[in-house]
Amino acid sequence: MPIRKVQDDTKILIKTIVTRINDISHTQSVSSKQKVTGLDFIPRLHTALTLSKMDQTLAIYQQILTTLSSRNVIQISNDLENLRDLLHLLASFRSCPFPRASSPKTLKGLGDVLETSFYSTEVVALSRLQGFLQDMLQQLDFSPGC
Amino acid sequence: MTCKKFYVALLHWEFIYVITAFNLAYPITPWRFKLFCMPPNTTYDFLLPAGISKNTSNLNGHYEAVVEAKFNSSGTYFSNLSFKTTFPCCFWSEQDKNCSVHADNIDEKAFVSTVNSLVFQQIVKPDPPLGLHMEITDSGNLKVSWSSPTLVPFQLQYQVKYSENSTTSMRKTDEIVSATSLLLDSVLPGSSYEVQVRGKRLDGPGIWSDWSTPLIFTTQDVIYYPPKILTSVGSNISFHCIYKNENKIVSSKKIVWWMNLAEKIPESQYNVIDDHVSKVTFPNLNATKPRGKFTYDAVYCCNEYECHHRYAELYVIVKPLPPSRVKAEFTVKLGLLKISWEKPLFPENNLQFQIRYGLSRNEVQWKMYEVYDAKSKSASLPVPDLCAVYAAQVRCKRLDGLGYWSNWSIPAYTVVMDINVPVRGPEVWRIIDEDTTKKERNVTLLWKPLMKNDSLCSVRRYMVKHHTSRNGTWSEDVGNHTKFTFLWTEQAHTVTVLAVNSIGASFANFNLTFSWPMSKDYFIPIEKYQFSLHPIFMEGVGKPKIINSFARDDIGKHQNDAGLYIIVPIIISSSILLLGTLLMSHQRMKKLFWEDVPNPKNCSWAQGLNFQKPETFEHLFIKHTESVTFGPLLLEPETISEDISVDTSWKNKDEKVPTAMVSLLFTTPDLEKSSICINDECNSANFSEAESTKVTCENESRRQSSVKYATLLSNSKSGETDEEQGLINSSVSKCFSDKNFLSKDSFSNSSWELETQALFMLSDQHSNIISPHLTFSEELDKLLKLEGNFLEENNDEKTVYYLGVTSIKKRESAVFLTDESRVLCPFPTHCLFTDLRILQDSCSHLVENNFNVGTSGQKTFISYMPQFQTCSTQTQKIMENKMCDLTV
Repeated sequence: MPIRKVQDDTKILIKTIVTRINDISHTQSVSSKQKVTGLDFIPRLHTALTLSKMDQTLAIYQQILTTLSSRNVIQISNDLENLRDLLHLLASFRSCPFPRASSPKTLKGLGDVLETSFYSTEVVALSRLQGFLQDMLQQLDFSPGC
Repeated sequence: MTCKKFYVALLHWEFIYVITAFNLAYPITPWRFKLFCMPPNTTYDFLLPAGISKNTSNLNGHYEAVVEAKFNSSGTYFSNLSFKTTFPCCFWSEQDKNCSVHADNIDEKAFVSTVNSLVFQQIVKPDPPLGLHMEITDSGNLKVSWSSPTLVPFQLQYQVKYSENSTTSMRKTDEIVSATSLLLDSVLPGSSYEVQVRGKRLDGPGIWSDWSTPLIFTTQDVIYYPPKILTSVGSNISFHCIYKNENKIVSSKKIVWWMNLAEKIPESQYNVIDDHVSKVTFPNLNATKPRGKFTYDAVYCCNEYECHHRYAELYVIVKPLPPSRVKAEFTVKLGLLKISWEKPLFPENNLQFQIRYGLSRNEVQWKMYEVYDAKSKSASLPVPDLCAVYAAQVRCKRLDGLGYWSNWSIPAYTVVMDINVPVRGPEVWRIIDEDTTKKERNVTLLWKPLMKNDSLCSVRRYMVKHHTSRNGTWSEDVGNHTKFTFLWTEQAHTVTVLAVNSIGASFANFNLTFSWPMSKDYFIPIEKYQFSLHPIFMEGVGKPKIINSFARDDIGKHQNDAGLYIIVPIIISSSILLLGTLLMSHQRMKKLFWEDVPNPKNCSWAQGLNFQKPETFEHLFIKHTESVTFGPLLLEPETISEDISVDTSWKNKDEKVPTAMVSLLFTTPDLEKSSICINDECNSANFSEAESTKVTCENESRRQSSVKYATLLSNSKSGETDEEQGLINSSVSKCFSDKNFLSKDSFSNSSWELETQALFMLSDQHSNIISPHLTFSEELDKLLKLEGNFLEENNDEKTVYYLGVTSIKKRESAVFLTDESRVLCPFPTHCLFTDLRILQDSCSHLVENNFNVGTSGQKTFISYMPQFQTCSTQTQKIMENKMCDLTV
């Protein structure tokens, strides 16, 4: 089945991205105990995910990582682009009205935060992205909705 | 009247345009002011033109004219009053009121100029400050800073007002500062500050500028101070933090510190500064391990488990150790600042070095110098001031550019010491204590102590070097004194003051030469003077104007040269003239003497002599004196001696034969050598071949007689040569004995007429023997007897013969010949001829006789008579006794 194959490819890509994030050394040691405030523009975990919601969240992460323009995260940003394509393919198989989410114009406060809290932004963004991808991975097994 | 004039003036109120805002280069922003001018004792209201508001009020019983004008930087309108009065004005602006203005209206424009000078130029409203900036200091205070408005020609004072969170009212700071920054209260997190600044002229009248554009400074909820620390391994650093969460400042006790959001910093490193400020300290830091692109550690201040995304950055870097054993010194002679160091032990990489050096002051203005040679251990740098203390530091870094610069080494300082000999000697002035009665003067030398830059770098002592022509050069040690007195005694005295330091004496020195003139117009050469005119400004002494004066020695030289130019040609021309004269004389003498020299081939005495190249005259006759004793040559070439006989013959008339006959008398001790005519017979044939005839006769009866005489023919009268020859020939063969001593034929008329030198020919049988055995009376008798014998021509027994008598004028050179001494003797000069007058008379008589009987009376005989004879001392003595002892 083509849809099964696309779904598997999506899961593999998600796992690849997670692995890439884990390969970034400084992100491994970030304590999950500490809650970093002031970075509300970075999406948090969502329990009920739909395909469109996944696409929108990935678009935000993609923008953040592109803004960070770190060498490590550029690859992840490209992976996110591919991941979103797969999500669109899945949606098309399911005949979901799934308009491609346009990239948000500007993330409020992103510029100021990057100026003074670059490290925090990157670490938090990758950390939250990693958690989000793992949630996606779980949701895909349950055939998320449109 | 004044009021009327003022009123009329106001009716003709005009506006003038004042250009360039009252001569201020500084642009002034538009502002409004009011000028209250109160004419004295006026109650009149007046009109103001449109555009200017008018107001009158009753103030202290007087009306006050209120003029409001708008003034901006491009100009202003103002009234033109045409009255002459003085009235007070008050300058009124929004912030200030100034009533110290008195405007004098002298003419129509003076009002403006007066106001201009009194009001507008003094009351200045500057622009508001620019570049407002706020920051949090490392100590946690808010600091506001700004810059002064542009083109302010004077210093300003400032005032700051600020507010917190915009909700509270603005508050002004009480402090008015002249600096361009101000520390405000401690910063509060999550707050908004609005701050404004204004300025005012610090000195003199002025008004506050407008408030600057407000600056709003918002602090974050979490404030770190300092926000970043760059330190090296092993150092200790601290961060402070104020945390505000949900509009509430977190208690410092709840604050925890995390490193990189991954590691919690132990609480033992926390310190509570106050309720809101927490401090964390990192002792003995290790180098930061780069994490990706992050080269720092992010230090988080957290409210328990909640951390703000802001963090402090901590850079712990590894620096090389600084270079060690850094020294700074000046190189002697070269005068360079030499900085030396040793490479640190770590790292072992090749290093580059950086030197900073500067004058050691409170704030050293460093100059940088970089060395890219890893093996270098020193660098020599030129510095302007060799006699100052310089500070120098060195640091290093990996030569490949990686890593960081080390810390600066411990500063090294130079020591002020002598670098080289003084650049020059001191400038010297002199005071001459002149004593006109003496030729000694006390001269006091004064000089200015050398500065460090000239002495390089100290003066141990001064030396005064003297130089005089008599005493040469000597030096005196003056020590550190700057005054020296010496006695000037010689005509010229040169002194030089030298500066001496530990290295040596100065080379370039000032000389002073003292000299007094030899005469009014003569000046001893002196040194060239140099006048330095130093202009003195408010800022200090300006660059001197140096004028070189004339040097008197040059003038003297020129004068001497001019004299030299005249004297030298005169000397040269005189020398040439003298030389020419000598040559001419020599030629003339040569002619007179040597043209009549007998042919050596024909004359025995002349044989062996080189007449062409006689060494000297004396030599010529010394040769001769082997047989005849001669006296010195008396240069009387025209002297005529009486010839006793003439024995000449010319076989060849074509030969150039001297036509004049010169008598020659000589003695012949050596008969064989001296004469060929020693016998009775005359060898005329031999004589005939002689170019210059020479006749020698001898006493026939007395063969020992040594008196010989001869005549030489001269060509004094060449026209009579033929006749002469005949005459001569007639007497050639005639020999005479002492019996016929005087030959009448042998006398020449002309010779007696022309020549006046008297000659005595004395014969004596005792040749070469001087026998002064005769007494005075005997000598006199003998002399008289001889005189008588002279008169008798045939007196054979007489041995004294008169050859001639010289004139009184020339008798000094007269000679006589004694037959005993066989020398020709001149008459002593003091031998009065009065005593010999009888001789003269006799001679005269003899001459007459000769003239009468002489066959050669018409001939001119120039005697060839070497008048060189020696007189014995005794003879001279006799002559001195007015007696001529002719028998001696």
